[in-house]
Amino acid sequence: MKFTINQLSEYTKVILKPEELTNTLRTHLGEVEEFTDLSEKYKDIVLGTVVEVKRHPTKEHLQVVKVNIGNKIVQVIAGGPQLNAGDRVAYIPIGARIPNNLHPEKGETIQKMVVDGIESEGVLPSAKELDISENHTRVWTVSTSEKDGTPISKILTMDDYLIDIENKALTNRADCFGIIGIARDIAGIQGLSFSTPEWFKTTEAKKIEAVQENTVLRVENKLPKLCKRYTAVVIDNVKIKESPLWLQTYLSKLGIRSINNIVDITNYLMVVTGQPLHAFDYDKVVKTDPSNPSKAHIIIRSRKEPTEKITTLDGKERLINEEAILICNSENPIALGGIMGGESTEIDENTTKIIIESANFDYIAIRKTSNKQGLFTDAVTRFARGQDPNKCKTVLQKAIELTQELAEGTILDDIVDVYTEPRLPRKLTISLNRTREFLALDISNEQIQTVLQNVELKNKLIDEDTLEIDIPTFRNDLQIAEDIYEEIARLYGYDKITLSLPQRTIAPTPTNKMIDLKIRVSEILRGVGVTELISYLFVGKDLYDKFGLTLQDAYQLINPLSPELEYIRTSLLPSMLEKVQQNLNKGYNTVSFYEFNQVFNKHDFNTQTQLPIPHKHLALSYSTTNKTKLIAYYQVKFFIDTLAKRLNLPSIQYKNISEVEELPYKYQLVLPLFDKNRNAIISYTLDNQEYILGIIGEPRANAQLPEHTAVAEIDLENLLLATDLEKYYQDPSKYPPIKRDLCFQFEENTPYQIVYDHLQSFLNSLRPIYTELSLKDIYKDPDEKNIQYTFRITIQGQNKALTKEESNQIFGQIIQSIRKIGGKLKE
Amino acid sequence: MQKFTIEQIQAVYQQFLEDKKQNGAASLHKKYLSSKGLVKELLKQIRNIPQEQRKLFGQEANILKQLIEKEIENLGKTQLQTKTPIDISAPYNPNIPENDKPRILPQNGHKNPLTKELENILNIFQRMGFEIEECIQLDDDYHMFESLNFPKGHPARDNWDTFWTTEHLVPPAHTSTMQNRVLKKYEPPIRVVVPGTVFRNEATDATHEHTLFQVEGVYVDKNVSVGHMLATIKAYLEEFFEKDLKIRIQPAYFPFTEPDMEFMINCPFCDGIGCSICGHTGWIEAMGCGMIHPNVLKEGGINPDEYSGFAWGFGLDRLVMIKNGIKDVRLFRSGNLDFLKQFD
Repeated sequence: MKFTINQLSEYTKVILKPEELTNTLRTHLGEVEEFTDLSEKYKDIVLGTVVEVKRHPTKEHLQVVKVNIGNKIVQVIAGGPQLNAGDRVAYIPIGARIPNNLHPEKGETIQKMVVDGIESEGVLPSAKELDISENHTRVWTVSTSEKDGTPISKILTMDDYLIDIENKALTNRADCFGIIGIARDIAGIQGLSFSTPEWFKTTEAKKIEAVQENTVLRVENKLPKLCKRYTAVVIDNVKIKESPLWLQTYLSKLGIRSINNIVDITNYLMVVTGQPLHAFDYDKVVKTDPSNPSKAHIIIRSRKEPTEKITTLDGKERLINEEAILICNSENPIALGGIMGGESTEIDENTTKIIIESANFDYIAIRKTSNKQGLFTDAVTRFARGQDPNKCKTVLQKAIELTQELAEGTILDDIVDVYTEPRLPRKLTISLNRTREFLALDISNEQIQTVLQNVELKNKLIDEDTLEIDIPTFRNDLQIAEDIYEEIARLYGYDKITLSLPQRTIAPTPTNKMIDLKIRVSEILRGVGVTELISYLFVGKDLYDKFGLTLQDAYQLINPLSPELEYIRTSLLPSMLEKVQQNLNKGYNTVSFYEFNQVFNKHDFNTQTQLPIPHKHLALSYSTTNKTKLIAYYQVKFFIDTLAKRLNLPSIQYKNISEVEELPYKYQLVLPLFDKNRNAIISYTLDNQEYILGIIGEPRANAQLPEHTAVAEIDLENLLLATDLEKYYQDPSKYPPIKRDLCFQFEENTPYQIVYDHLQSFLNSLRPIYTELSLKDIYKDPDEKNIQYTFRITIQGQNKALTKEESNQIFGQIIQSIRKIGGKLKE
Repeated sequence: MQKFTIEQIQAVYQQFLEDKKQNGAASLHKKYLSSKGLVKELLKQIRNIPQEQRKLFGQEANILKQLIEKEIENLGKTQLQTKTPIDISAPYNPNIPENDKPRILPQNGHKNPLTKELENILNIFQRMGFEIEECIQLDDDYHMFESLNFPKGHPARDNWDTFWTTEHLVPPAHTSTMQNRVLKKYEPPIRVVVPGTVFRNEATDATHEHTLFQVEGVYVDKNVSVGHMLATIKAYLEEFFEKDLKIRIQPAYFPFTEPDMEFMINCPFCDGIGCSICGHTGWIEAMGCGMIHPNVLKEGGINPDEYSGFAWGFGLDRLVMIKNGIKDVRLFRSGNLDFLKQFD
C-alpha cells in the first residue's frame, strides 16, 4: 500500500520526520517495503519561460527554443507543436536524467546535442517524460506564477516522500488500503486523535431492496450474498479531458497512470478511500443492450453458461469462470465486477454521459476470479481484503462532486442504491486486567481508553474492569478480544512489553527417538566415508524412466514448477543416483551419499488419518569408477552391516525377493531399478515376526552408471524398532583365549549366511564359554566347483582355563557340526 | 493329439510368464527364442502333428512366438543384460584381494550444513525443555489451512504459495501444518518444536528456493503472555548467536495467531552497525511469531478460556547462508560435492 507524506498530511498531522515515520510504521503497523524521496527523480530540473521560438533551418519538424531559466537563457531543440513565447516549461539540463527513465541501466543522462549545426543544451520534456501523464505529443507546459529557475519538483508537488507498506502485513486491514485509513492509524501511532473527514463519514446502514430504479437507471442485484451493495449514478454533459495537474501528480506519485479526468477521479477516490469505483459510458450500456431499453439496465449476476465470454478493458476476451460476479445489461456482461470493466462500455474522448458505480464485492469471489483469470488490478487488491459496504454511497457522492468540478457534469436523478444485508456496527467487551496480563503490558485504564479512542474506537467503562468498545463497520478485522489486545499493544508500542521467561517444571523433557537415531546414523555413516545428501521431494518422469520406474503410484502436482518437479517421489533412490551421476561427471572417482527423507505412494494410504503414509527412509549409495575387484553391492552392505553392529541390531538377513512372503508395496515400486541378480531384501526377526528393514542392490546396467554402483533404501521406523535391543554380555575372563583358523569347504552355491549362522549358533550353545567368530577369507576354486570359507574361531574358558583336550574337543565338535550343512574341513 | 499339443503351447507360455519374473531379456531370449529354444522346439513338433491339425497348431505356435518376442523386446527396453549372480549374504565376493575388500572409505563423509545447524538449534530447544515433533511432507487442506483459522477461499491463503496434488493434498508451505496435531497429541503445558521441510511454489534463483527448512515452536500453558513469548524467543536467539541481543517487534498478519508479529533482532553480524547482511539497516528479521489464535486452540481441543499460548516459525536456509557466507540457496540441495565437502 503506497502513500506519500503530503497525502497523509491532508488527513492527519504528521509530527515525525520522514525517516522516523518509516521506522515507526515498521514497529507499529507493518513492514515498509519502500521509502523514496520523490524529489530525487526531478533533481536539477527547473521551471523556465520560453523567450524565443524559431523553426530549425533544415529539420522542419523541429523548433529551436530559447528558454529563460532564471540565471541564464538556454537554447534547446524540441519537437511537437510550436511553443509560444511566454509558455512556462520544464527544463532538463545536460547531465540530468529524464524522470520516467529513472534507472541508469535504462536511461542515460542528457547530453549536449548538435542537429545540423544547431546546438541543443538540454531537453524540454513532455508530460510523459515528466512521468505525470501519458501525453507525449508535445512539450509539457504549465501555468504558474513561480519564478524561472524554481525546481520543478516544487511545481509538481514532488517535494514529498513515498512510503510503501507491505500488503501482506495488511491482509486483514481492509481500511488501510485507503490513505484515510492509513492516516487514522498513523494518528493513533503518534498518539494523536483522528477524526474521519465529514464527507467520508458513513450514515447508519439501512436495508434497501434488491431492485431499485430511477428515471435513467434500473439496477437489479441477483447476487445479494456476493455483491453486498451496489450504488450507481448517471451524470450527463461530461467533458472528457486531461486532469488538472494536482490530480495527475497525485496519481503519478503512487505509480498510477493518468488517463483522463473521469478515470482519474475514480482512481483518486480508490486510493484515498479504499473503495474502487468504475465509470461506464452510459450510451454504450444502452446501445449494446439487445432489449433496446428506454433507460440503462444493470443486472448483477453470475455467468449464464460456461461458454459466456467478456472482453475486458485490457483487450482480452475471457471465458467467464463460475465464481465471477458479472455486471451486465439486460443481456450481456459489461464488466467483471470488482476486477475490471468491459471494453464495450469503456469511456472515450467522445463520451458525454456516464454511469459511476460504487459497489461492494465478496472478497472470496473476487480472489477466485482474479486467480482464475490471472487478472490482478488495484481494485482486486482492495476488494480481496473485504471492503466496508457502508462507504459505497459516501464515496460515490464525493465522485459526483469531483465530476461536476472537473468535468462539468450534471447529475441525472438520484443515486440508485441496492443494499439488502447491511453491515452493522458491533460491540466488543474486554477485561482490562486480562488485557494487561495477556500483553504483559503496564498500561492504565485511561491509557487503554485513549489509545483506542484515537483511532475512532469509541469505548466506555462498564465497570472498573470491563471496557465496552464500539467497533465501526470499517474495522471488520476486530472480531475477538485478542484483536483488541493487539490493537492496544501495537498502537501503544510492543517495546513497552515486560519480558519474562515462563516458569517450567524441572522434570526431564522426553527426547525424540527418531531424531536421536538419525543423528547417530549420520555419525556412523560419515565415519565410514558417506556424505549427507538432501534432495528434492519432487521428481520428474524422465528421471523415473531412466531407471525403469513408473510414476503410476506417485502423487502428481497440479501446479509443478517444471516437468522435472512434477511428482512426489516414491523412493529416495532415483534422485540420489542422479546426484551421484552429476558428481561423477564432474570428475569425482568415488561418490557415496546418504539421505534421510520422506517418500509417499498412493497405495500406502492411512484410512484413519485420510492421508498418505509418510515413509521415513534412509537411502545409501556407493559408486566408483576406480578399478576394483569388489562388487559394489558388498560395499553398501558393509555400510549397513556397520550400522547394524553399531546400533546393536539383532541379526539381519539378506534374502532373495522370492524368499520374502509379503514384500511391502514401497519396495515393489523400486524393484525394477535393480539388477535381478544383484539385489536383496534386508530383514530381521523380532518376537517371531519378520520385519523388512529395506532393500539393497545394484542398479540395472542401462542407467549410465558405473559398473561399480550400489544403493540401499532403509525404513527408519523399522530401524528404530530394532535399535539397541538387549546385548549378550559376559564378564571378562582371566583365562587365555585359544584361537584357531578353520577352512570349511562347501558346494559352490552355499550361501555365506547359512555357514555363518550355523557356526554362530553352535558357538552360542557353548556358553558360558566365551567365543568369537570372524571371517578371514572366501575362496572359490573355479574348477572344483566349491567354495571355501576360512574363519578364525576364538574360545576362552569363563571359569577355568580350557585344557588342550577340551579345546580340541570343541573344535572337533565344530568341524563335526559343519557336516550338517553340507560342509567339511578343508585339510 | 491336437488337445495335447495346444496344452503344450499354453504350458510354454505359462512357463515363460514365470521365468519373466526372475530373468532378464537375454536369458529369456536364450531359453525361448534361440535355435534350441523352447519355441523353436515347439515349432519343430509340427512334423509330428496330423495333417488336418497342422494349420491350427502352426497358427497357435506362431502367435506364441510373436507374443514372447514382443514381451522380451519390451523387457529389453527397460533392462539390458543382467550381471552375474552373487551371494547376497556374503560380506564380499570370493578370491578378492585384501585391498579390494569393503572398507571404511579413505575420505570422511560430510554433513549437509543445514542438518548441522538444525541439530544445533534442536539441541538448544531441548535444553530449554521443548520436545521435538517431526513435520510430514504431504498433508491436507485441513492441517495446512483450515485448522489454522484460514477459512476456505480466504485471501490470506495467497500469502502461502502452495503446491497441490491432483487429490488436493499439499506439500506443506509451513511447519504450522503440524500445529493442530501437536495441540491434540500433547497435554498442556505444551512445549514442542517442529522441524520440517516446507515447499513454496515460487520461481527459484540464488535467494529463492521452492524447498526450505523451517522450525516451528508451540508453547501452551495457563496464563501465557506476550511477554513470555518475547522472552522465550529472545533467550533462544541469544543462545544461538551466543550474544546479547536487542529486539524489535514489527506487527504482521497471520490468520493463526493474534496478536501476530515479526521478531527482529539487532544484526548479530555487525552488532547493529549496519552491514550487507542486514541491508545496512542494523536489524534482521529472525522469525514470525504470535499468540495462538483462540480458534486454533479450540480446533486443537484446548479451551482458550483456560489456556493461552504462542507459536513461531522461522526458516533455516537463509540463516545458514548468512552464517557461512553461502551465496546461492540452491546449493544446499544440489548434491554438489564441491559444496558439500567443505563442511564437516
